[in-house]
Amino acid sequence: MSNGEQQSGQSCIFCQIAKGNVESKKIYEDEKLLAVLDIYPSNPGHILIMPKEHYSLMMQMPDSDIGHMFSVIKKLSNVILKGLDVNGTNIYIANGAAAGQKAPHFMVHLIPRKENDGLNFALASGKQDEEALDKLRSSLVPIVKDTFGLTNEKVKEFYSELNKGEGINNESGGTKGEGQKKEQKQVDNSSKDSEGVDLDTIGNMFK
Amino acid sequence: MSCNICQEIVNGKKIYEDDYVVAFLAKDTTIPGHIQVAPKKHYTIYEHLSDYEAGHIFCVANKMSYILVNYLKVAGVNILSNNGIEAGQVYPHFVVNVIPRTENDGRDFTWQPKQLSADELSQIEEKLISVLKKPDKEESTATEEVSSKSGIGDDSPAEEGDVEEEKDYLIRSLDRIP
Repeated sequence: MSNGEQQSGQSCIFCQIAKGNVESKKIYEDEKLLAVLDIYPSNPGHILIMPKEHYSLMMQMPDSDIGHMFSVIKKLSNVILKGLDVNGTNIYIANGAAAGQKAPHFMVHLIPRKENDGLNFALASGKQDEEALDKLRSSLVPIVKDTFGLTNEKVKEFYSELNKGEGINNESGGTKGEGQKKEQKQVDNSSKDSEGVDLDTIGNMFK
Repeated sequence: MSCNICQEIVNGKKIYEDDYVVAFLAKDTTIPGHIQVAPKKHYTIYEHLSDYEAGHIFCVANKMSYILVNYLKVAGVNILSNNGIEAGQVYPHFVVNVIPRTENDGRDFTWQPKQLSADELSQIEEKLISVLKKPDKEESTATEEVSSKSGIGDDSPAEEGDVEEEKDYLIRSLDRIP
């Protein structure tokens, strides 16, 4: 259960915060997660919600933990709206360095928002080509069907393979569908290090 | 049906659907591969979702991000929800955005940290904790204000079985009767 903790617990500042070894402004805590004030906030009242267990990426977390985490986030968002006299919140997650992830410990940013506060998470409005969307859709539907039988082990396996192989910095390309999946299955023989190595190598991406 | 998201839920480029949520390819976007996940019920803001839906919608968004990384080979994914107009919400129907990212794609969601003194942080901490500890039934006022300030009507139905929320919803509806 705590492979990640063994690997990263000593060096990961957020694991230390979760254990209470580093001081923080705790807003909420239970056995699974911790919510603290960001001491370098985007806005006053910016809350970081993190699992106590060390996951580098959201994709490694089991659904039950995600479900619990976001029902807590819903309550915290309500608390922000009510307590800080703001009119909105952003729920922001960065998965991977290319998406702006800065710490190798997965966390959710909950950001209080007011008009003209200098932040901008608005998504530009544009137009996608109808045919391209249809094409993408038909290639994704079978993959989605397959993915919803996804297990945590499968995700860990995928990441260990990804980090051993070509790396995570691929340009976006066409869908590869089933072929990709079969390749991943070949890493079965590395089951003993796939549990630990993946977290470590993903952690190293941030250095 | 006037809500754009409700229309997408029925006629959009759906890639996943269950009893509670639908995931579809965004069409009003500049980002190829941009996926949106929406609750099937017309909830204006996040606070209106039931606890289960609030968790489930992000579980589905998470799986969508896995698909983007695994099959479209993007280098990273942002999951972003703009909750309330002042947070950048466009339509009066809560959605979660799953946004594919590649190195140097020109998008930037980062921010300049604001400097707060230790005192200011402590005050915020106390304030939030005191609100968190208050009984649930007082929560409705805040969400009501956000929906109405946003100028986006709040006709979110309550989840069956969630008595507290249902009560709040009824109270809010009553409040609006002129």
